[in-house]
Amino acid sequence: MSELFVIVEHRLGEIREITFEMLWKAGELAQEHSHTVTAILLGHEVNPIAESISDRADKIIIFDDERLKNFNADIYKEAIAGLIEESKPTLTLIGNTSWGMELAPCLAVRAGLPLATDCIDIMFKDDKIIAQRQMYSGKIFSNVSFASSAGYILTIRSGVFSKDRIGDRQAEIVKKDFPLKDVPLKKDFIEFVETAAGDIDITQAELLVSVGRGIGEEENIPLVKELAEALNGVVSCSRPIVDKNWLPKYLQVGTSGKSVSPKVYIAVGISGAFQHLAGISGAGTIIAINKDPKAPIFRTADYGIVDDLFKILPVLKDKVLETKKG
Amino acid sequence: MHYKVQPALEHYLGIPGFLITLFILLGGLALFLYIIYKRYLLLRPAKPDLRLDSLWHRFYDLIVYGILQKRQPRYLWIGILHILIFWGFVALALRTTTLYGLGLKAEFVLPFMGGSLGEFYHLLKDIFEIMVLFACIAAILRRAISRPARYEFKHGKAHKFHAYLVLGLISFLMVTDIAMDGSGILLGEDRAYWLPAAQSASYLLNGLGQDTLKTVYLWNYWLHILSIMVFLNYLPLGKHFHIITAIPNVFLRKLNKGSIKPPRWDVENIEDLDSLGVERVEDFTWKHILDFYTCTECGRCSDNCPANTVGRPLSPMEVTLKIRDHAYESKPIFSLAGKGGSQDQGLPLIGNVLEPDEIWSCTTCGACEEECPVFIEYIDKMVDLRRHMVESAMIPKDFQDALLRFEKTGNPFGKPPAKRADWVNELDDVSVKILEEGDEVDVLYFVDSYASFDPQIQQVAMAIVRGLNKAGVAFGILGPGESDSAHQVRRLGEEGLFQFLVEENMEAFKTCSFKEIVTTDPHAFNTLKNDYPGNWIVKHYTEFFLPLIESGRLKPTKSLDNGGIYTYHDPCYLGRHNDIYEAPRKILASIPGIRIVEMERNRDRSFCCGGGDVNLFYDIEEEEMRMGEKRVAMAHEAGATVIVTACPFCLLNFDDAIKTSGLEGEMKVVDLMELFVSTI
Amino acid sequence: MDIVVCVKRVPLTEEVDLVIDEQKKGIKKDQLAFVLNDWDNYAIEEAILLKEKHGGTVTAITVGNEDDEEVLRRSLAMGADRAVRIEVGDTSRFDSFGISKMLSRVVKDLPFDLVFTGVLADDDYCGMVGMMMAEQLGIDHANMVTAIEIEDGKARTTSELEGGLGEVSLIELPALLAIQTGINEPRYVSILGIRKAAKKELKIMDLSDLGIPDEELSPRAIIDEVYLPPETEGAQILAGDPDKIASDFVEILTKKGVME
Repeated sequence: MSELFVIVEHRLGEIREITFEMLWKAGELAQEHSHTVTAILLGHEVNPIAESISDRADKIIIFDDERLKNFNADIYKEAIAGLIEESKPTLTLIGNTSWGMELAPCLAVRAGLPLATDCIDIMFKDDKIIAQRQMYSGKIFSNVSFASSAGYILTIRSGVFSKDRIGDRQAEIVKKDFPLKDVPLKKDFIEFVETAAGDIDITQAELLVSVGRGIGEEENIPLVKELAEALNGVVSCSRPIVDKNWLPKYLQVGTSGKSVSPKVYIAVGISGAFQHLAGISGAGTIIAINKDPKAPIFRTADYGIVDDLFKILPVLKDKVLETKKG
Repeated sequence: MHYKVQPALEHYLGIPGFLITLFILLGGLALFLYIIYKRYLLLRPAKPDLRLDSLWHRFYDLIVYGILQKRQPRYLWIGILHILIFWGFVALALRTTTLYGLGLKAEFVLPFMGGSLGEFYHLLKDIFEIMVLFACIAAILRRAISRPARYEFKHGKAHKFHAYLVLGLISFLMVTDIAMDGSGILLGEDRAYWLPAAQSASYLLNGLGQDTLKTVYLWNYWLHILSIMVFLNYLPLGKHFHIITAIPNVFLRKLNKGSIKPPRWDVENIEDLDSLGVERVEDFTWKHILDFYTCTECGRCSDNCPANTVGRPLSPMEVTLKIRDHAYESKPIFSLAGKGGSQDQGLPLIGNVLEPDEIWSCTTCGACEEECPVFIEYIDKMVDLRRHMVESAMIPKDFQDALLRFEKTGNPFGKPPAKRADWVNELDDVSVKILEEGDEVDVLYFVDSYASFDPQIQQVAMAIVRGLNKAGVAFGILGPGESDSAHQVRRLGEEGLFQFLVEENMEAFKTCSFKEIVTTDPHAFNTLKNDYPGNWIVKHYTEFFLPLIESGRLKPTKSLDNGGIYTYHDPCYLGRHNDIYEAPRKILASIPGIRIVEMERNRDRSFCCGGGDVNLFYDIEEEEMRMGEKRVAMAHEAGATVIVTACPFCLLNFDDAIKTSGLEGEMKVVDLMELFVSTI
Repeated sequence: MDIVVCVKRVPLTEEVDLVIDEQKKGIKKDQLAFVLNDWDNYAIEEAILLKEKHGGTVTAITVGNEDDEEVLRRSLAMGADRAVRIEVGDTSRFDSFGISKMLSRVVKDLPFDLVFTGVLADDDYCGMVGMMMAEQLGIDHANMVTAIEIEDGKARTTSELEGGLGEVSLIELPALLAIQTGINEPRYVSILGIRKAAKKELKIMDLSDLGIPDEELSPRAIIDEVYLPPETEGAQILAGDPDKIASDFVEILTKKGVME
């Protein structure tokens, strides 16, 4: 009966969704293979966060200290390494997020444990842990196994696992004293900043809602912008839109525009001309909305909605907003 | 004839006339030589250029374009005016010499000009002087009243003052000589012929006393020979330098249209060069600097430049003049310190004299070079400027990605080379031979990247292949062994990448044997023919298929009866750069039942579609409309419903333009071969 | 300001259909074109920019064979002063941990104020080497860096967080920064530029020079097998009434992790 560690990620007083996803998977693995789920929570005044996961873990270890107010990979690393040495968990799950990607490799070296990142599934095969991940921009899947070790560290990709509660748990809260009184902070947290919406770089966007000639008139573009806003995504477009000066050049996707590689590319009213498709070959998932079922884009897209965009866009937007609120 | 007044023998303040003439003559010439020397100093540090090949050809062109001024009447009325002024000047050269002679020695006469020949010449000169005078006055009025738009500058103000000054000076020269002759008649000089100008002048001067007439005569004489020296020395200071430099400039013109000059004529391996392309003025060749001297500011280049027409930052004339003025400023004639740059060097041109978008706006269509009456070259200069920008990483990010894809995959799409011939599998009616080592065919069909990968252009390749098959031609394609022809790459200024791709293709060509190469697209045709080393027979598909059609081997069987009105658009690299205008037209006309109209701008005045180089990878932001849209509007105006073209880039640009112009349904564009094959 | 940049040569896979090799542990690479890893391109550019601003040197370093020297030459052409290649035979024997150990071993002996790596490599998408090196070298670090300013022996960095948020930190030098794409606009290097860069110093080291015992380099994470994602027949059309379509739509987005 061993433990599965899940490192809780939170920011500005709010827990991040990846935590729920990791707890769900850990819970699933725990059920199948008799482990317990231990959440590790570091921070300052984090009781509310502990509350929100109290029914998803068997134990929550909390380090509550002023020095933990801001995330610092080195401090987290030392604290977690200590816990790992103490408890020897089979797995330590960390979110494959900006913070997680900084923490996990350092921790792996510090604790001397194998690491696999950006995992989209975890399997046990004859007592061996197999992590499933992707390579080559998602074109190839791989199964990774590990050299025999007391434990393994995995970072988990966001949005892959469910955020639901699994099983019936009531966490035992364990508050521990922050052990590193004298760790010098070499890295000082200064502040959070918001990136300006001004000069948008669509090549860095995670989600693009792209508008093509099917939009008809310039006055209709706000329909697309609203969907993009609802999704926290960025608006981009195909060549004809720029030609008409409805949107600026830096939002153009295609051979004479930019090549983009978002996780999700929603093509609205875009037929799928060769020159445009060339710009989205790096896109993760392409969802095309076009009223012409024979539009070439449907051959390349992963999902398609064959409908009048004027009818379906508002419905999609409302559903998105609804889901986010709930 | 003899003269009643002898300027050489007059005395002024004790100084004899001939000394004054001598002083004016020698002083004027000395100053002139000094000025020319200063202008030469700019040529000295310039790079070498090879211009003395094909001497007979050059002499021939000199006569046709330099003396007969064949390009002038492209703008008809002003062209005629200019020819009159020019020939007038040439004809008056003897008179000018005689006048100086008369200032040095009384009764001076040129050899052979003593008798009836001289009298006849005197008549000729008289008539010419009227012609030139009226031409100059007409030119002045035209400038002042109808104000042709092409004389204006996009940026800054044009130096129109110089034009008026020189026209005025020439008129003055005519008037003074006529006045001299007129007063001479009244003083008793008798001539063999009735001289219209001189006689008219004499009517105006009638009634003046003999002494006054003599004074008039002498004043006009001295003013005339002084003005000639002023005129001569004024020439190198502005656009009228062309009067001296135009003839050599035409003689030294670029004979091999379509090709791009190597980075340096005197350095074979570009790795040995510290820098590539033109950063400062002295990086140009001496011939290019001579070009700057020779610009007449006539604006014909900019008037025909498609980039200029659609509102891009480029005006070819202004590029020339800005560089010229900068060069003059950095090595001025009359002061020791140069303005801008040191005494030894000009400033870097990009950023100080020219803006990057001016240079990237050019589509290398060649309209400017086709118009220029004094044969100023532009394309080589643009490419040289781009070469420097590429080496200094002053290129837009979109280019970088495209160039990297060319380098890594041999095509601008980044598609794997192994798939280059996949389009062949879509043909169920024809089998295409993909050449392997040692294969022998008659024709190597060079498909190039767009026809290989772009679905729309693949249709053109398929049409060509059907045509080849139907005509029973033994042909093959290189398939994965083919790399992009690198036409665009060279004209974008990436010479290293161009050489790399050329090497790849040359290696591929060596593996098999063929009699001629036929290309889908005029760009590949142009570069294989004009840029690549080696001398195969290279033809564009229009040139290749025409004899087959004329001999009946390929015959249309269906006629076009769809009510469409067809017009042929001359692609830049087929038409202007390689003079192929009629072959495509004949192919089009061979289709039964076809109704053809001609656009106003056709053949060498064709208007670029927007281009197949820079345009593909980078959009100039500053633009009023797309060139394609402008051209589609021209076709629409000519009454056409279908534009026929023989170039894939024209096809793509027009297809786009028809949609964005809102003419979808009213007009369409089709490739010539696709059209023709549909009737077989 | 001495900067060491770790670079990697990766296959260009954008337009290509990938084929699994016979052992099923990797892809067939013989028909592929190779380029400098995009993140590393930004890293080199950032290093050159800092060198242009503060003076100093830039060293490019990679683990690989002779073909991999191409990315070193590109780095030199962009402005790096010298390059080092660590020859190890078949690189697929090693995992990120082994690679990071080798790099750290070499970097340790170089004078440096900053070490740059790209956040990820385009082929394996692991993103581990950088931070592992930081830990092995015992230096401070920041991840997903989108801006760097040097002030008095410290680096003020902005790290990219999710949702358009950034985090500004002040880090003591020497430090390791994992560079995110978009931090700058990498300069173009022409073919001629790359040819001329061949004249700059390129040192080759091999495993024996590193003196790391073999056991320490044995892989901790091993690829068991690779396979293609399940086949799709063009777009899967979402059907049903608008509400159902919208629900499906949201579900897809959630699965892809973009509904935050």
